[in-house]
Amino acid sequence: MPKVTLSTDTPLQNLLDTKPNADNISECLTCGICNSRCSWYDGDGGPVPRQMIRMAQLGLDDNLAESRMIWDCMICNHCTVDCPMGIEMEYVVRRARSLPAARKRMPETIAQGLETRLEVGDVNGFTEEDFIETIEWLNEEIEDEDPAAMIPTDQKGAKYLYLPNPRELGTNVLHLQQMAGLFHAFGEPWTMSHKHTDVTNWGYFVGDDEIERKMLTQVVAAAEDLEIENLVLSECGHGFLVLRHHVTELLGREPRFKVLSILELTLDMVKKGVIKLDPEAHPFAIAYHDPCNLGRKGGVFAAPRELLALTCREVVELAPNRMNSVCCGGGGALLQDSTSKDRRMIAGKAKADQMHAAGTDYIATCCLSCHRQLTELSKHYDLGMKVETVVALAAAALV
Amino acid sequence: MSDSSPSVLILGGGVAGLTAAEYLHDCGVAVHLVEKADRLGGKAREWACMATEKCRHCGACLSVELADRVPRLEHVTTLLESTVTRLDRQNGRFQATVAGQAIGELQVDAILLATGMSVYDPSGREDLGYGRYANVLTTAELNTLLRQDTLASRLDGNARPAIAFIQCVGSRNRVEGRDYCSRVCCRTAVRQANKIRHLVPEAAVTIFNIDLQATGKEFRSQVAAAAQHVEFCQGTPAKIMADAQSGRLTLFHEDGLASRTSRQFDLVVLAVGILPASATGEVAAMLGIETDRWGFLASNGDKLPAGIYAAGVSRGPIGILNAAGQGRAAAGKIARSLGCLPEKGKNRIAVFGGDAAADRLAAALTERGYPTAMIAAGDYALAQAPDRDLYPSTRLARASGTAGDFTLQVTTPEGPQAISVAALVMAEPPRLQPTAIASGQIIVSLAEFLTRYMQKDALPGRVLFWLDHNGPERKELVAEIMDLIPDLIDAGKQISILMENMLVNYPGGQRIYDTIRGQGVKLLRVANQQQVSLQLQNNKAAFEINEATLPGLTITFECDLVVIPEQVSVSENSREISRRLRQPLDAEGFLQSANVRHRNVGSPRRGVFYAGLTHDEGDLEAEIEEITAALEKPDTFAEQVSAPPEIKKHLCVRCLTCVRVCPHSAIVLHNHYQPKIEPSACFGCQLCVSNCPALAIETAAVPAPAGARTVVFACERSAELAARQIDLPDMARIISVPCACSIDTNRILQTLAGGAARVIVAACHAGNCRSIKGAAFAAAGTRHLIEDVGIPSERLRCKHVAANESTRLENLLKKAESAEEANQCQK
Repeated sequence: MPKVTLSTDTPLQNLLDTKPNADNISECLTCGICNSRCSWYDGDGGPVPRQMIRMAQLGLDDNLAESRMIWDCMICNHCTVDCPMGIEMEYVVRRARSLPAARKRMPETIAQGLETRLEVGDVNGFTEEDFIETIEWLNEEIEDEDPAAMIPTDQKGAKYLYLPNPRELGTNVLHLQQMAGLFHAFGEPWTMSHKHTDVTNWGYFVGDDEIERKMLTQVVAAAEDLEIENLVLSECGHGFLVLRHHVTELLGREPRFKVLSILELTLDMVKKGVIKLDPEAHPFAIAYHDPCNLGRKGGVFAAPRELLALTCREVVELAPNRMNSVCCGGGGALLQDSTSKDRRMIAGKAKADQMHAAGTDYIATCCLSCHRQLTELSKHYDLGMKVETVVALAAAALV
Repeated sequence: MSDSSPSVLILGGGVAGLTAAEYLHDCGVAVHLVEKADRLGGKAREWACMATEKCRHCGACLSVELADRVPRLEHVTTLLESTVTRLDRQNGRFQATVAGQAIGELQVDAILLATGMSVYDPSGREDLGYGRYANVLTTAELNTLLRQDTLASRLDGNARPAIAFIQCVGSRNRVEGRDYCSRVCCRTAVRQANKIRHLVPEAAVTIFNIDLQATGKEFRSQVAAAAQHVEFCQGTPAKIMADAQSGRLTLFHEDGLASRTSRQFDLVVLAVGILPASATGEVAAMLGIETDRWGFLASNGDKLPAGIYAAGVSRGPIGILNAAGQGRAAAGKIARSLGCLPEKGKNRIAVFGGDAAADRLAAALTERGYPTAMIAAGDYALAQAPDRDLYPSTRLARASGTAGDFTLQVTTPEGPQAISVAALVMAEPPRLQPTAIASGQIIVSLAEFLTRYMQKDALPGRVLFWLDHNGPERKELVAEIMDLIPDLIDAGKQISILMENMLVNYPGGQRIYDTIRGQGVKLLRVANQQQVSLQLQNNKAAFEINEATLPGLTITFECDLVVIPEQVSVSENSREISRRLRQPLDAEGFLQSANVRHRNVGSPRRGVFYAGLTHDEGDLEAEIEEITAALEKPDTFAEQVSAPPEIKKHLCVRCLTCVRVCPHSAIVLHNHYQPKIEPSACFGCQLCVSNCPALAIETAAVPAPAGARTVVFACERSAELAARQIDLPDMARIISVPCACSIDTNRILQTLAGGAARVIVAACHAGNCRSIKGAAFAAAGTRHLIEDVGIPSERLRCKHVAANESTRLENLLKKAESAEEANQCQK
């Protein structure tokens, strides 16, 4: 068996144990609860949660950094929901990922994405020119139907600034078009910015505060330059977590705008009577998947269910859900790793089982990453389920 | 009893409340016992009997015994389905408003809070599937299945079920605000696992645990025996799923390699933790007293205001027998404060031992007015104190007499002497044996470390405490180490602990364990001692271990000082004294048989008590309280059975069989070796009657059964109590007997000859007979009649039935009847 020596004062130990809860690895009780809860529950690969905590606790930085576990981990925190000491796995794994030895093993597409995003402002290398071109093209389409509904760009002082997911400017332009339809219906000045087009922040995935801060600053600076009132985030789990929950700490101050998710804003507009949704728009039962970053880590459980219920016949709960929701299998940058398909299908087996057990033809979620993973699961496991996002369904139900 | 007799209100009719009620009644106190439920006995009444081939000493049957006896006591008023809605202090007394059966006001002098417990509801932990899957149960619900004799049907007749226990559900959880060990669940799970295997011999049982709390009387050997057929698995799964195909329950667990695996079970039992009862908080609010951070009445009941006392689980998690002990101890304190205990004329008590524990015990006795004789077999410097006679280096040669009037023949360095005492307490220190490798500068025993600890600065930087090196660690020694650690960390030492299981089942245990981890103490866990290798080099200890939580890696580390706690056993001196007192040892060789019929500190010989580490891992202060309460009880040395047997001198051949067999040492020799039964020492078991070869001992005759087809001779403390809870089959008749051993072979043959179709001798479970040997004697007698005399076995049976096994008794009787019907049909 390989021999390793216990150490104290290791780089990882120094990055952890800074909070009374969450990263308090030294207090691990070795109860083993986390070991039983990993979503990656069947098949090869996957983390052994307690081993990751123990390696960090006992100063075995290299063993942890070089283990496949930390890049297999979906940092979904499902394992530590019931931790009796309040440890949260995402803190431990993200810090471990930031170790130089771990960085070396970072999946290539992640490394590239980080670089591109920092350079260009978009993780896919979508430049400002690309952005302008895409919006112009979209606007041409929209103009045919309703010139007033065209997407405004760089409008200083607008009430809302929409921050899209990169996929809305690439493979899923339809989603952006739907969101634009909603904003038009809200009837208040809104805009997009050519300077930043990306709600994602892979700095979060790699556990590097500096990168996370730089990416965040790109967004904040552009928003503050435009002096907008509300930054409205696309349906993105980790993007929501960073921009809503990490922003003040990383920035060292409050941003000069409010951060909203398009989900919350849309629901609010319905409640205020600004927009109306057709309750018969989607005459089917639909299951709802809680994205880990939005739900368990972000605390948003009620809003997506409420909004779905307004347009669909019935919202079906997966079991378990909310705090105990099972990760889709694509979290923690697994989805963003182009080599991960096989592993994601194993990691998502629990989710696929849940989807199957739900017995519906439709499932909705509120994160475009989850959306893609669920779509692939449906195909891979032959579930025949159609995957939607909550806000897109609302957009399609506009009266 | 006059109107001016003092009165006490007891809230809660569980084991603690009932025990206290009985004690206070015996002291002449009027007791008002208020119970919320519609019957007495508390939570313990819901627990099943855990006996397998022998009693496992859970104490649950005690609740039935007490619930039967206490409400019939003259000065005890029981109010069922009642609660106290208001409590006020008035002129040094209390005014209580009781609502329920009848609304009324009570004036009492003192209040005992024995409000008991509730159990953790696991439905909040969604992923445990409790409530979603029918075969996820709590230990409490498993108790119901066992009590109702329905486990087999729940398992759908599966003869090889896989059953998992998950420990610490609701306990040891800081996030949920319960950072305490519930202290009883490991014992419960092991007992239930044994019971399941007893009922379903091919069941595969796994106990998933964090740290198995293998402490307390005979429990280490029970765990070791259980480990032969029960799997103990470190790590507690918290997610249970049902397999889509088979519907079996699936758990995920580390597979012992660097991976995880799923395992399937037919039944998963959640070992749910103990919570305070809601009534505890309500009553505490009425009285303006504080509960501790968890809602218990603080582990130290002495903090309560004058006139208010607490006992049992209302104070904090504790087992059934300890709750009874606390009930007695609290009642003793109440009786003392009300002036109901005799103050003067107290006789001397012998204390065997001489260390700090014995000193503390003797001091407590002196405080209560007892002169003491401290007798130390070993070579101690005995502490002088008023009213204390010291007998250093003194051995006991013989103890004659009975409670209240013992004569101890001792050998002092100056020669033989006789010491007269009323009672004696064994508090001899245990033998603390340093481990064989604890030698030299690097590896030391705990005692050696404590000496060095005085000069903390001289201690080296890296200290490792190696627990479980000599088998499961002793709680006291672990607690002592835990106490030192924060101080050592302050002094800049780097502390590690190497262990198999961390013991936390003492008050505050989990909190201090959480604290030291937070302070950076490294905990290293190994599955067993074979996973550790150690080399001493250059004044350092170099370890190589296979850490249990990191399979696949060998971990190395060094330290400068290794502390290994001593192995605890019983000294030869203690064993010798025990032999002289004719006291059996427990299964692990410790003093005081585990079978003391629900007495934590007592013995089958009245007036002989035990305290300290040589008999159990109890709390010394609690033991002292219980012993003094027992000593001070007014009738303690004069208690008599109603009709003790009598030896007919003209028939007696002085063979002394009776003296040898009496488990209570109640038969003493008078002039010319004439045995005589001392009524105050006799428990009335009649073992002497059944054994006397000259038929010289007579007793009141048991009534002859007439017209009954099935005659059950039932011990009045077990089977007879069980029989009272059920409707008997028409032709069955229960004959209550003081002990199953009182039914000898003649009696059985007479009954069969007199027309009974069958005789069942229903005895206590082996190991739960108050007279130690009674149940075994009854079993041997029936075996003799069947095997040697040729009585058909369908006509004669010896069955072991506990007081809380009424359903099992009912089923036994039904089965006997239906077997006969089947027989008759065949004819």
